[in-house]
Amino acid sequence: MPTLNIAANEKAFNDIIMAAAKKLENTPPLTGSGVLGPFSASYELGFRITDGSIDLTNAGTVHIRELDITYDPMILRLGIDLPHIQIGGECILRLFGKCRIRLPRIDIFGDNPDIVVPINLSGLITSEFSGEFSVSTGKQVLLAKGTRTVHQAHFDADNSNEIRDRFRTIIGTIPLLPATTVNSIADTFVPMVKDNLADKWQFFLRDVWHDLDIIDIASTAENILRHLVDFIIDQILAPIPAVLRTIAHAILDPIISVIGAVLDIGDDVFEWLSSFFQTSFGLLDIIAQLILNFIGAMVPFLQLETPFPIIEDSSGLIPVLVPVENIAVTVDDVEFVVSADIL
Amino acid sequence: MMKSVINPNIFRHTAVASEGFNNLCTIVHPLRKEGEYTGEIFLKKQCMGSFQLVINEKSESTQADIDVSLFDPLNIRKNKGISPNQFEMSTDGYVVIYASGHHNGVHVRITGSGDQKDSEEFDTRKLGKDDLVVFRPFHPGKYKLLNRLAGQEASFAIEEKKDGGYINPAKLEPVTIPLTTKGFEIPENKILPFQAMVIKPDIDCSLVLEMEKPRGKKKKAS
Repeated sequence: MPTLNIAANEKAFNDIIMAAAKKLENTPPLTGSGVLGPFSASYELGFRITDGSIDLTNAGTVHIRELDITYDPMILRLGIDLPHIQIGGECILRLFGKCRIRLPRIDIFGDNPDIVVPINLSGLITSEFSGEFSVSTGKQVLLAKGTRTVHQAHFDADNSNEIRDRFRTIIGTIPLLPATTVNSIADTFVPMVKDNLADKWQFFLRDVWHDLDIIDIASTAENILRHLVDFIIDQILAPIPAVLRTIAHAILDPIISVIGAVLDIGDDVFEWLSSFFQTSFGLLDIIAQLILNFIGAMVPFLQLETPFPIIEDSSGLIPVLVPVENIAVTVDDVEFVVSADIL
Repeated sequence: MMKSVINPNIFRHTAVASEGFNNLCTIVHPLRKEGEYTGEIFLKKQCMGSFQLVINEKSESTQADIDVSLFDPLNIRKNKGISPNQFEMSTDGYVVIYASGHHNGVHVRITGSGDQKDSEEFDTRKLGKDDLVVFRPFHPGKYKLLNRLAGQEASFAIEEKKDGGYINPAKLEPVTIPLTTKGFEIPENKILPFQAMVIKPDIDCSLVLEMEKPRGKKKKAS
């Protein structure tokens, strides 16, 4: 029985995987938010792959080494909702137990006391991803193919939502992701898979182990937040002449302290925000694992049609299609080889 | 650029005179006679706007709050051409005149209209026994209070809370300061920033509030 062997050396395989990984950069940014008393925080988080290498091993696995994931966009929005504090309204003349004159009220703060400071950290924080993956294969058969002949399936584009719906269903099982994010992630992966209606052999990278290190996020975030609170207070005081800043600080600082004390945040706000980040990134780690599982099962880094168009005729004649079965993959430290029987 | 959220007028002034007042001063005057009155607001010598005030025995309103800053054409434009120029109050009510904006050197003149046309009923530059003058200094420091007409003078300090505690302006009780032929009777209690100082004159007066020395600064040797 004739057999087909396709081999890619380590560099070629590296290019295939990196090209597939780069497509993941199109995943829509993750978003989230949290509120504590007058403080609020929200984030928008996407990524880019900026460095890294891929090795093939004699153990038959693919080793992704120090893949640098740079968070971009990474936009944090920290908000403070200042209370409406007014002066005036005191009774200055009381007759027969009734107030006759009250002083008019004037707002200390302007019409809109909400302050939201966007901090753009895009490109400033990098995580390092390493991991080992096995290569698995699977066969995709679309229901949309119906009773088409192999040639019809080869020529007809897949206009159905079958792949999209499968993806949405599986990604929808990842906890904490809102429906819009589920749909966006699923829709991002669809073009990597969707093609014609022919059956396909697909090659997946299955997660053996991985490690996602978030570099210095706690200290980075805390430093940023500490400066941010100072920045916000300076912004509150912006219209006040510099010579009066000290006095304004003297008046406003206790107010801000009291807001903190009343709401039982005080210095804990930093802990809370730090925890907010850590939790978010912790969740990100979990979500990353689930997405890796999804990619390992559903998003191939390579796919081959079966029957395989061994000769594509450009003159309008029908292509020569050869059924490919019994597909097998071998990996060593030199090359990645796909072997198959041609029927 | 982020929006400024604090009201910048609060911190603008450290001194005020009742003859030409600013946002540190509120002037209260009773008008008892039923009828229609016309008020004119002057920023220094320039007439900034006018208003109509109806005194009606049946009115339930016991005070007419007149914010002179709302008559500034810039504010009128900001408020889409609307300026509050019609007021009504009862015969036992009070006109309460103040500035919420940056304006300084303001005075208001109220005359009768109709049969009482042109008869001067009140001028914020001429204060007397029935009036109340409220000063509200915001900046800590040493201050001087003067009645120019009688050459009377008194000093006092606006202090921050020593414990550095929170000043809630809404909870500060006004401080009453009688003004008689003997002078100002400043209470011994500490006066805090934002606290209203209600001057109750028993004599004609023209009042001035001046900051002598801001908090934490040594007085220059003369």
